[in-house]
Amino acid sequence: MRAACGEIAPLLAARRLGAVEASERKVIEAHVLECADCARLGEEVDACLEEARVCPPAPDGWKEIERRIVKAAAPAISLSCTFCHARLERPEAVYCASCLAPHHSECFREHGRCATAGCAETNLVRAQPARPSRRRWTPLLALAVALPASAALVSLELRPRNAETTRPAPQAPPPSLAAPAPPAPAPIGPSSGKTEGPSVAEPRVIDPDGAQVSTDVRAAMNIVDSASARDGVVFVLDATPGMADEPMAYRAPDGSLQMGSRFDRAKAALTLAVLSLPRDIRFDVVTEAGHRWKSNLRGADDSNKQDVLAWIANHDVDASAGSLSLAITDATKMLGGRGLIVALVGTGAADGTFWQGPEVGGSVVRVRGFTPTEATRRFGKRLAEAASGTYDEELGPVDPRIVLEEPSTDAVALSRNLRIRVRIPLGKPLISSVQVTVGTPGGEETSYDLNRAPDDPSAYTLLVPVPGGDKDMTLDIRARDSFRAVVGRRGFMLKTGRGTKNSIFAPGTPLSAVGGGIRNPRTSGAPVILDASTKGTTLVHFYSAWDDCPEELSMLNSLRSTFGDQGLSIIGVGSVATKDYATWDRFLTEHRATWTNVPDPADTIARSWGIERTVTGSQGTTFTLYLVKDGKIVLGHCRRPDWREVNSLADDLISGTLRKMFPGRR
Amino acid sequence: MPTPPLDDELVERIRSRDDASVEAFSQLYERHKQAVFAHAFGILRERAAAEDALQETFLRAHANFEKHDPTRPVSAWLQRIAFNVSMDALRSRRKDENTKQGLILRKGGSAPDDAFECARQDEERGQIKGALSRLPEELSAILVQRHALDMKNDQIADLWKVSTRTVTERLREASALLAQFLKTPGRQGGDS
Repeated sequence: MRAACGEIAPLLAARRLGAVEASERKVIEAHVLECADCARLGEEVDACLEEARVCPPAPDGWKEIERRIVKAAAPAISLSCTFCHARLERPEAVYCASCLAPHHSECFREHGRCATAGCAETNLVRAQPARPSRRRWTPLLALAVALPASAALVSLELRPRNAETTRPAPQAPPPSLAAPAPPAPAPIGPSSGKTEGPSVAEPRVIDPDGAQVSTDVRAAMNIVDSASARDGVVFVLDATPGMADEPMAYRAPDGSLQMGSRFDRAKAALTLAVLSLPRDIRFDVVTEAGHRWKSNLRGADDSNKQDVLAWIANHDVDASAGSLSLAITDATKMLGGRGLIVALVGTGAADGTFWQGPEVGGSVVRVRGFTPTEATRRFGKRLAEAASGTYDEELGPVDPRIVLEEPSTDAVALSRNLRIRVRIPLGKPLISSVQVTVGTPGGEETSYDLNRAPDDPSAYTLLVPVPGGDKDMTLDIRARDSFRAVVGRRGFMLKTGRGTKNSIFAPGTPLSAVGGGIRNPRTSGAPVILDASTKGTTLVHFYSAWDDCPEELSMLNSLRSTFGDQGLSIIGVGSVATKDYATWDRFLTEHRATWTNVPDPADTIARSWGIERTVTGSQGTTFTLYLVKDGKIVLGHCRRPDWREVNSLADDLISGTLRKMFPGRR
Repeated sequence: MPTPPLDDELVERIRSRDDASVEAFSQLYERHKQAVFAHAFGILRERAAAEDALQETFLRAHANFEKHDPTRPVSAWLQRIAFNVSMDALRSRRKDENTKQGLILRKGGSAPDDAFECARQDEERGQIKGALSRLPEELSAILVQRHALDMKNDQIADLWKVSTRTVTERLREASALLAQFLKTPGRQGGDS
């Protein structure tokens, strides 16, 4: 008797699973042979069971298991950040210099001080790998290396290159007049075995345009080297209160290694410079507050030198109001518009954002910075540039030859973070820490401690955030020894966010030199809408990605409402493909960009106006415009702004220019 | 089943807890991961969950290796751990689902047999396709153990702490449900 399908079907899978009796199996198989439906169902059941065969697990599963096994085997003690309380990996930890509470480096920076209750320490320290020996003579060895090297620096500063080089140094006595007896220079590092040369002794002169530090044998303080000095020398000493800050190791006139403020170091340099003056040179010393050693120039005889050194030694920083510019103008008058002015500056140029240069006549001005503020540095560079002089900065007692390996100083486009890597070949035994201060021309400064690079014991590296937008940046790198004294320092200027050099046409350039006017291909006949013959004021706005620049359009709208009725017209040049015209029009209407907008799908117009989008930024993040009046460029801007700065950019740059052009508008 | 000698050697090295023990444990993992994974997969029916269970199984095994009876095969011990881990995960998932269902009901929505919710759950679970995915988890697990892992009924019974007869009955029950799902068209019987 044939079994019913309803009895067989439930057993089809069971047959494959070995869950049927032998007798049942025979019945099932006989039924399946005769019943096509059950045979088909049996095939489906078999296929379904095959799905139960599992594919293998992920091949990398062991890695996670191994990681967790190793982690579980590790000691359960861990650090947590005092500020954010999150887990803290030991290599990442920094410690409060006072109570040694562990922090994330970022947390300490954000908090600005130690997060431990009751501890207000603002300095931090890092754990150093254990050294094989901690004998007491280790710092002495460092000093032994440092002393002769820095003495070499001092000796070169004092050593004129003309006949006076052979003039014997004054014999011993009063400390005030005793030129230091320079110890024989000792080699520092493998390539610094010579007494003169860029490795140790040569002062570094910072290029006036703010590029890299370069070597130049003309030290600001090497008076004898200057022909102008024959007409007299006036030293201008910055004695503003900030000069009492920034303690740093320096070589005192008596040859000893000391710690001192900017003012101490400036006085030491001034003392050495005075001592080096030939007798036939007339000189004076003034401070930025208007204090003078003498009311007119005096000869550099021993008596006057002793007198001025006493005056210098007794002089302290001065809270009275003064101005470096006024003091230098005063010195120029004393010199009758000739001679040499040597300015020793640190913090005196608080007004440095705007150039209020002194009258220097025909005087040559040499400027030496003592850990200068950015404003003072800028002031010094511009002053030296304007007065055919030089600008340099003091070196520490040792120059460890700081080499900037990353980034390139001509970097043009930066991402959000910047990898800084410096190499100090002299390195490990002497240098305990390396700090970089990232500054912007606006005066913002942020300091970071670099980490020792894992691949090179003499290299230090850190990833730092780029300070807002596309500003130029300064990197001030300081190497410190185990006493935290600065033993080496070097500055760099990074030009960021700009296009190729001179890619933007300078103010005053006629449009005839720009390479073609602007035509609107969407208007019948493609008429020229801007060229050298166009009268009036036009703002030409270039943009590459029209859907990510509403801030710019908003700003342009604001300018139009303010200056439009005064005659300002706006032309937008958008890098937009033909197929996107409809969307583009909608976007422009939505943002009330109803001025003439010209499509520039191949960037032809942009390139003829000197704009290379590929180097000025990426993906349309460049804010590019020209202000044109009567066929000439008044203003060109092609940079990557921080979008938060667009409004201030409009106020400071564009509106400021426009207000001058349309003085009736506030 | 006699224990392969190599397993014994590995067990001995792992128990020594010396430097080579992790390496030995990695070899044990390579040898048994497929079986453990299949076991977990049969119960949990989600690849990601089964991967987690595989990992957790071996971590538990490593942490408790001293509790392993060296006279018994390590494979069976691992299967037991995998079973426990998978059942824990399954209970946890059911609890979550019940909670979710309760929330939906309290909000006045429909229970998860709402078509959309079921489809979503199918999507979440769906590694074993078709009728197999409609089986209750326990039946599916037993079926996988029997068919994919080639475990004997007494081994399965030992694992589930039931009699071999019960195992057979459950396999037959699974078989009947499979046939029912395959014969009935639509969501209940076919792919979702």
